[in-house]
Amino acid sequence: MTPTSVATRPARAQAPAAPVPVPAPAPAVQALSLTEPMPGFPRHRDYVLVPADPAGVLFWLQSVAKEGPRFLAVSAAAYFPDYAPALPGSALVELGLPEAAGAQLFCVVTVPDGDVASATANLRAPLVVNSDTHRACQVVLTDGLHPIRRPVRR
Amino acid sequence: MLTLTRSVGETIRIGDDIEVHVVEVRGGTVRLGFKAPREVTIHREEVYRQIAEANLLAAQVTADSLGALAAFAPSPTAAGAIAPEGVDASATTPAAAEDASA
Repeated sequence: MTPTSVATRPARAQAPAAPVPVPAPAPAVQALSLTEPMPGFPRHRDYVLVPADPAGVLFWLQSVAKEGPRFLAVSAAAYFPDYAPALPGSALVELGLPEAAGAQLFCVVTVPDGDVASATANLRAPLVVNSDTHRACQVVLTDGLHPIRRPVRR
Repeated sequence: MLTLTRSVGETIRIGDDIEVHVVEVRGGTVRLGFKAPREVTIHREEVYRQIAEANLLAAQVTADSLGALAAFAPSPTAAGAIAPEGVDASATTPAAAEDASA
């Protein structure tokens, strides 16, 4: 009778215990398992994606390893509403996504020398997240249409 | 480094399940085809290196940047939504506008 209920358990386990000071449904902390490491950080596959602002635009992508890397990422949907890259089918299959519309996209932000005015977001290699399975991958697009350093300032 | 000579139409096999096909040779350019399990990602070296360098730089970020970056977002209420850039954007999202004033 009960075996099918097991499928919902991981999502509920992510419910944040800490109080969040916004009435709107706050984006939850997600544990992410990368199907392959971020380029440049080959030894790290396990991360958490933590909301970094109340509006749900900025996120910390933090390795769970003690000395692991930490990135700042923006929600592509919130920050770049027109951003709709063609994701390779192989990446979608690897992430268990039946269609691209089910993917959450995040763009890694670079702040050169701490100068926020010249901050850029990487649209060439979005972090693609399956929020149902918590699997993710930084997918390198091959279409050449999307810049690695898109200015964030408007 | 292992060096092999191959002609157009010939193949190199790496391990049990990776094939590299020489598709075309013209001038100084070689077109290669790859067959590999989907968990094996294949990149042009220079592109992969660019992404790795971008990631290494991105990982130097500090929390000092957060406030200013959040202010660059199209609309503070537009998490996941496509908000118009018009002056009355806040009027279309009354619930979120209350957040901002609280």
